[in-house]
Amino acid sequence: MYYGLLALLTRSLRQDARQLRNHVFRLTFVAFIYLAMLFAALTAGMYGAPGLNFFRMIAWLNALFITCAGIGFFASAITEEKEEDTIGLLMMAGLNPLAILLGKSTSRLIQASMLLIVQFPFMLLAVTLGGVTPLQIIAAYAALLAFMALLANVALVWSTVCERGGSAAGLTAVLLVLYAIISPLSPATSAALAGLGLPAGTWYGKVIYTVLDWCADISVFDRLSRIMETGFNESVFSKQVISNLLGGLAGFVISWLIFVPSTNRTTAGASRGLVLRSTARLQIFSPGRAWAMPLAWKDFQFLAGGYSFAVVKVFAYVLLLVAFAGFSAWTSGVNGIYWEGIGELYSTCLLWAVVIEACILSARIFHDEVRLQTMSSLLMLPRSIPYLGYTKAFGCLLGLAPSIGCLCLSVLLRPRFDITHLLEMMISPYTWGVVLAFVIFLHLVALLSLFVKWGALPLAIAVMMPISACCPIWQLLFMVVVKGGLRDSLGEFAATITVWILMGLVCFVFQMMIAARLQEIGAK
Amino acid sequence: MANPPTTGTTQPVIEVDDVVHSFKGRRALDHVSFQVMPQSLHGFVGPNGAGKTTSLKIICTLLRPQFGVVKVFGHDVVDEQKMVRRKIGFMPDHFSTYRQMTVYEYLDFFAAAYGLSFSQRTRVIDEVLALTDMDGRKNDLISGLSRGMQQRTSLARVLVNDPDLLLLDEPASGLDPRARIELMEILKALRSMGKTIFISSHILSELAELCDAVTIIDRGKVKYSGSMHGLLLTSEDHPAYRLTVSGEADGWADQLQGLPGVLKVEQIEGRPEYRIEFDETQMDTNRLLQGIIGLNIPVSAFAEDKRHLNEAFMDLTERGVR
Repeated sequence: MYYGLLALLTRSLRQDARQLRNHVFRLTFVAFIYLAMLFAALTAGMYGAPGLNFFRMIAWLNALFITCAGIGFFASAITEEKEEDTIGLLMMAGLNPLAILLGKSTSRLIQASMLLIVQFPFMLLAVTLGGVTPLQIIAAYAALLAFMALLANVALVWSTVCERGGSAAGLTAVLLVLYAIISPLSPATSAALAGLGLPAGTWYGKVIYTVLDWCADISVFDRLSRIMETGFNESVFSKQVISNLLGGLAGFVISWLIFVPSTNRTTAGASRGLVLRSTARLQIFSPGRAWAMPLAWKDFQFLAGGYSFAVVKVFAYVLLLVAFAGFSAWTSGVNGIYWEGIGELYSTCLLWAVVIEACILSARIFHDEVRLQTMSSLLMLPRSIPYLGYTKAFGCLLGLAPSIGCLCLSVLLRPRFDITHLLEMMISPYTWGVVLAFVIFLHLVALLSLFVKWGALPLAIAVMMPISACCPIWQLLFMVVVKGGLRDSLGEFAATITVWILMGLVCFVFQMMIAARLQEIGAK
Repeated sequence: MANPPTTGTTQPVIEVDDVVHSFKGRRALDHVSFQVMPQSLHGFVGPNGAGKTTSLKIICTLLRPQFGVVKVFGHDVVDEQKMVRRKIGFMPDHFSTYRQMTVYEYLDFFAAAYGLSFSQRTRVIDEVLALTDMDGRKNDLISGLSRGMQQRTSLARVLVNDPDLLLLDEPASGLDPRARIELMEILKALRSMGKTIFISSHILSELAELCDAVTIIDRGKVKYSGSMHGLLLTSEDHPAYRLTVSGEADGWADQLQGLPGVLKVEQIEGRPEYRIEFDETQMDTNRLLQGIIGLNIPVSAFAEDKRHLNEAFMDLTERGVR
């Protein structure tokens, strides 16, 4: 019983220990920290508290990396077995649900924790640079480890429930957004409840206020901000650490309890999420017949979610606007709805929705063809690889249309919308510099998804950061964008054109690499 | 190297000429040459790692040959890829399907990708569904189909552009006997419709029954390419027949040897069976049988002496780990 319980976990950890690339990856992480520390030491004279600056950068980098990488890494723990129809085989091999969860998810949590643990002794060196105490470093790493435990097990719940990794990752991301916004919302909710007269002395009042009090402290992002403050002297075992660990434990237990019913349901097979069949009642939302541009049709319907998901998204965005307006009305009265502020917040949320959706689609656009082994069939069509790539991208763009459309509307309908400001932004090299960075990032995600089984998105983030620091293209771009002499309209426009040319060149290189890799995969 | 039977000056559908291809220094194809004639069902046989899939991928334009020339319907697979792709249908050795689609959506997608109009697609899909006996499952999700059904769906997909040449890589692997037999029946029907089928398979008994011609490849080299009949004959020089007698098994060899034109008679492993090789310039099959009956030999069976494809395969390919 004991051996069976830990068999898969032991195997995963042994495999991890034997694979050189894992150690190289961790070493690279440590090397990056060394480089950052070297930079901090060299520039120590220019800034106050160089240790704190260095530590702040690394801690936030870790938080960002855990958040981005965790979504894909942890959410695919069980879904990857489901996608390959191997859950049944694991069960037949005598592994019980607990053993599978330990082997598939906890092993990943341990592997990911190793990334933090290997950094820790090196991070203590930051103390010698000045401005940071060992307590701050220990507290930050405890906070990050607890957050990682929470993320891993929340993702595990979705991985157990969902049939596909993409759905599990998406739902994990939604919960993560809730996790991030619940913290700032809790004090406001407490104040509003107190304003409405909820008595703090009653038992239910105590429960509600205590829960809201804890909710205000669960966010790792707030916790890191507090840790970074000078003179930090709180306990390592904060509410954030305790609540995140308890949340993680709860997630694991829930996954364990629902494992059998969820996996039994999935072995019956055959689901495609929100995409309706042509035999469904709401035929209007089914994919229908293929368009004259069939790859665009396929990717719009089956990768981006199709008509039904588009409708769901628009509905969700409208609901979000109503929720913002409702919250504003609740906190300041109906006449006091602060439309300008809501408009800004709403546009920002939609912009993030577009960014996240675009990232997910670029990670899946070619990866799904690799996973389903359909690349050879596509390459056999009498079409060129660029045609395949561009029509697929067009299908994904159609999938993004509801989000982009709502974003544009939210910008155009803002109370103090200024068309000249928008036009200025459109010719600004800063804007195009950001667009260039994002477009390159999307290309990088798509390219990396052709090399790795999962986690192209976090890997792209990890690759993009050092590239941003070292790549000559970026230095050139930086020069073009910030060059003081170009800050008249003509100069700005010239700079923008330069950015466009750069964007075209870089995209062309990436697209050539993607095409070559697709050909290679198709011929495998 | 013998070629499959040709009808007059018919141009081969596939011409593979002196192709060499290596992967990381290991030669997968070593001066491979063979031809596939129109409207034939040509088997492609070889042990694992012999170079079958590499050859198929070169023929279907997925891989470029490093040396040599491959032509399909007279079009070079390197220079005229699009022309070649329009005329062929390739079914890889794995399920290359979008599991979240229904069968109809999947076929409609590929038909549209081949540039068929809406009405053409409707007609063609109905035809291929009927041919593959999938019309009752057209609204089922592919992920919910059995292996055999998924394989039929793949075959239906290959047929949507009405290709003249089908390249099938291990189409029967992993299928149960019923699904295999049904697949072979579909292939026979396709051949009767005038399609040329080039099929790589390990299931030799079915290939022997089905194929007109065969190419055997081992360690990147073609060991045989020609008619199936020619491969299965036990003697290349003279016709040979197998005589099975009833009753007393021994003692007939001397008498049979005395017949005019008979070159060699041997009893097979103590059984009541004799292998008779004769000179076709002096004797034909009818006269041989008449001569045997004239000797009052109690004939139980008399048939051309053929090897099983398994035997021919084992004779031609080398032992060893690949």
